[in-house]
Amino acid sequence: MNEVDYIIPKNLEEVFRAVEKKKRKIKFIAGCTNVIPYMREEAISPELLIDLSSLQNLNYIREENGIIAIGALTTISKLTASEIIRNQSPILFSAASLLGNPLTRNRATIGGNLADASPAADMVPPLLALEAFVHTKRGEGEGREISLDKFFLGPNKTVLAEDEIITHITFSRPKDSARGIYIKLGLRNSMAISVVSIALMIEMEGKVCQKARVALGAVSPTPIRVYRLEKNLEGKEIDQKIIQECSVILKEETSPISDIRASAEYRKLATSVLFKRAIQGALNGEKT
Amino acid sequence: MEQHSAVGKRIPQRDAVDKVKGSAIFTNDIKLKGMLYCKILRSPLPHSRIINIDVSKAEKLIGVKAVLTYKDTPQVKFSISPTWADKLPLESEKARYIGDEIAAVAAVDEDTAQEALDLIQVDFEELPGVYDPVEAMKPGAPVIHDSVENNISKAIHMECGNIEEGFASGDLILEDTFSTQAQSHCSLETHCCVAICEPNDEIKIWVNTQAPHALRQKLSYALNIDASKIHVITPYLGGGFGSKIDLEPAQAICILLSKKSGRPVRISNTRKDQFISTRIRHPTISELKFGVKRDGTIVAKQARVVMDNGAYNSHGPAVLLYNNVMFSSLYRVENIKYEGYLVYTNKNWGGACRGYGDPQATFAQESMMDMIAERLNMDPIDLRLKNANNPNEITANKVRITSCGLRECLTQAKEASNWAEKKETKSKYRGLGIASMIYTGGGSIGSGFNYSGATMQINADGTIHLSVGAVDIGQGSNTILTQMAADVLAVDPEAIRLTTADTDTTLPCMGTFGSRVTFCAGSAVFQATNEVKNMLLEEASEILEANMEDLEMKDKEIFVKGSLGVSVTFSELASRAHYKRKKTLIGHGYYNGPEVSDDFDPTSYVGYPSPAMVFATHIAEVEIDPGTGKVDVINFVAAHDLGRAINPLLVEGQIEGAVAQGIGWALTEDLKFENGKIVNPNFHDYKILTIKDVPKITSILVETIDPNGPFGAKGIGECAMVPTAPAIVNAIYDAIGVRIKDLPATPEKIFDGLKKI
Repeated sequence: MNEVDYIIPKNLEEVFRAVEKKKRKIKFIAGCTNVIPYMREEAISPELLIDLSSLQNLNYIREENGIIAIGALTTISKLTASEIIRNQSPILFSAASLLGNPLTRNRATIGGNLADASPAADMVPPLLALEAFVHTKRGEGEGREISLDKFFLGPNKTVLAEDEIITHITFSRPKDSARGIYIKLGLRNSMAISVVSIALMIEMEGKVCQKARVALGAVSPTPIRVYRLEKNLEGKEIDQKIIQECSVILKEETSPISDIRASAEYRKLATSVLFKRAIQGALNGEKT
Repeated sequence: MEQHSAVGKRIPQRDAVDKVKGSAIFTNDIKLKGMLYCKILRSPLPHSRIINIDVSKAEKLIGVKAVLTYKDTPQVKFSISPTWADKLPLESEKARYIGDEIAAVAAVDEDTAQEALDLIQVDFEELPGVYDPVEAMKPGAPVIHDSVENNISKAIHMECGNIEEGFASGDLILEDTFSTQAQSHCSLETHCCVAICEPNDEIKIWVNTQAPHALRQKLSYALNIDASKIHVITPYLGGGFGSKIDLEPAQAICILLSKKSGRPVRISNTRKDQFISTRIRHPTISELKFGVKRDGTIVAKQARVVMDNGAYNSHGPAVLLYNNVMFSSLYRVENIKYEGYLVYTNKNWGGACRGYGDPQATFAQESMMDMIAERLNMDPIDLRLKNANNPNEITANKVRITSCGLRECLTQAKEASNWAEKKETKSKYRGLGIASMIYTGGGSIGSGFNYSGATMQINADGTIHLSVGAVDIGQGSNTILTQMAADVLAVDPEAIRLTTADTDTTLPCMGTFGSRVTFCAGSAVFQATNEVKNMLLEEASEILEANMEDLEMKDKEIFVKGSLGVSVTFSELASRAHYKRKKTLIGHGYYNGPEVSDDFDPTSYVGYPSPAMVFATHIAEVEIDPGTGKVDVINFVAAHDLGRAINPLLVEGQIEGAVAQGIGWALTEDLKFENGKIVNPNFHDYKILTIKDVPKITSILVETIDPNGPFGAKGIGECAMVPTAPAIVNAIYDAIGVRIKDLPATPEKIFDGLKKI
């Protein structure tokens, strides 16, 4: 591990002052559950680590006027302990409960999970299905509000500038009638990186699907929404024929890689199985 | 039933509190004044000639105190024995795998040492590599060790009975091929040592080894230093599983760096170092052929095994031998042929790993047994009972069995797993699988020795002091050895002080491996303690004017039976011996067995002299997710013939830990290579089970009371993982009809298998 400077600013002003002063490769850190392993592997070699852990005003979960807001520094274990998350967005709750193990959940933050931009990031598919926005800040100016489906550019790449930080994430409280399912396929029951993960939200009116949101993890360079599949569900009575069509769409819309955990072929087939389970579960009224 | 005061009691490990509180001192905790930190430069190439090593820049870096290359070493090759020696502490001519030791640095801190490594310039001439043992055996394959033809380090040909006639007498012949993958030991504590070379050339090394006395001998050989100048000390040790038996190049390097720098030198592996530079379980390809009669009698069996040795021998030759012995001895089969090849490849080298070649043999054999049972439409348990070994038999390949509880293991595991009822009411994606095994339960004297020593002394102040060479590597030998001693003297085990694993203060012990400590060190402790007990009784009989037979011991006192109040304490007896008779109360125990009969001929690979054999049956119940191929092990029963459980609590700990390791090998653990490079050297990608993956494990202790074991006990440590994988794979077949012949049984392989049905 190379030598690296480290500072821990007390507030946002100090963060941006530090960013301005140092003309060096910076890396924002919080829980460090990924950054330290990356540095040990020399996959990254930042020159200055700016620890955001002291910005405790970015550590919150709130619901106001039908909008749920989560501060970027909120730990995953805090999400799993939140009544708001458990009741209003069970798919996010479920994904949080399955991330890493208790030790990683105690350290890892939701902002870090997004900024790391792993194709297999656990928190992303449910947030995509919830149509979340990422709110950022950079220097003194106004922050940006970025739709999550426009946030990722590739593996470990986002639209964030090097000196831009995530402040919070927002999404609208799903309708009471919405049904959501989250399924993660990993190679063991804890500390597993997803081989495939799926988050699905549907709103039904009678037998007709009014709205569908389907997001996948670990089957493309970034977690993705599957718009074509959503369209194929909306406005229709969902029967076996539709589900079968969706399976075909999934095969066309995903581009998984073969890696140490699974082959591309297996990922494609498993995605289809997981989708069938998710949609069936949602139609049966299961909640995650 | 004999009454025992300490043996058979469920006593928690005597060091549990220290370990839980974090106050126990492990090798990794040792820091000395002026200590330097060592880092090793490893080969980045799988196979290369070393043309030149330039360390001049590294030597000039501030903070670097010594740099070492092969030129600073005696260049003596080592291995488990000189016969198989093929490894230098620092390689001189060739590097044979990614990770091979090339140079080393001692510096004031680890970062400086690491920086210095980057300044060492090595010119390599890259050579073609070979990574598949079958390819490596072919003519024209790259030669890894100059003198070794076809890269075959060792070949074993064993035949007993008449294999052709055997097959001819059967009604059915089955043939198939099974393969197994590399496994990493993953002990909690990484390899570490701290060495000091004193000005008088005396060497002291704190090291987490499973075999301190053997290490002294190996260091003496490899460094050409008189053994009497070497002092090996092993503090608390955090897990071995076979990975810490060898002389590690790093240990020799630390000593030489200390000699060169004049300061203590420490090396401690990172987890990545651990994955890329320590031994692994040998991958194997086993082609099996079995002949059976319609009634299930196995009339002949044959195996051709190719074992991937990796770049160097380590225990390879002996692991191949064990593979042969265990394959050949399980079940009563008259006609057996075994052909085995240990083949060098340009990969990480295999070594001792829990089960020592037996898990590979048992996976193949017990998968085959299941296939036979299906073909014969026979219950797999009945097939095994039909062919099971019996007590007091000599197998066709001349392995002597004394106590044997294989039948009891089979029947008791059957009952505990609810086998009959579950087979009747089988639900769609659930299955039950069974596998049995044989293993040595007290090491072996096959290599010429199997020694463990102990002394027991009682001092004038009443202290009772046991001293053993054996190392407690976490399995609990410190606890059970004191339980045995306490039982002989009828005292509380806590009353016994214990010294272990120090070449200066304990009698030699060959080491903690081969499931031998309970049997061998236990026998030595039993003998030493009984010797002292007799001394005490002799003294007491004089003082109390009673016959020795009429005396009784309790709470460090000796009474005359039936006359309460007439007693003498240990302390009084020891004082009298010391001061009046100028005699110390010390008993010695030494085990080095069994006796080898004259007809044992190691060159034919028939016969293997172990003091005791152990047996087991595992039954796994699994549920398969047909959509994803994921296996959920939902129940597990492990029945073990261990002679006698000295401490059932610790035995269950051993069984549960081993089953977890066995399930890992069966389902998730796979050290993967790409062109000789390990691509998953971390706990993210190399998946050992977590607490959420381990099922409920029911341990059944079959106590056959071995005639030669201390208190009737035999070993348990290694064997408990041997039949786990085949039990699971057989259960998968029972559940969904997919036969996995290539471990691990990943969801993807099962998914592919399901598609083909």
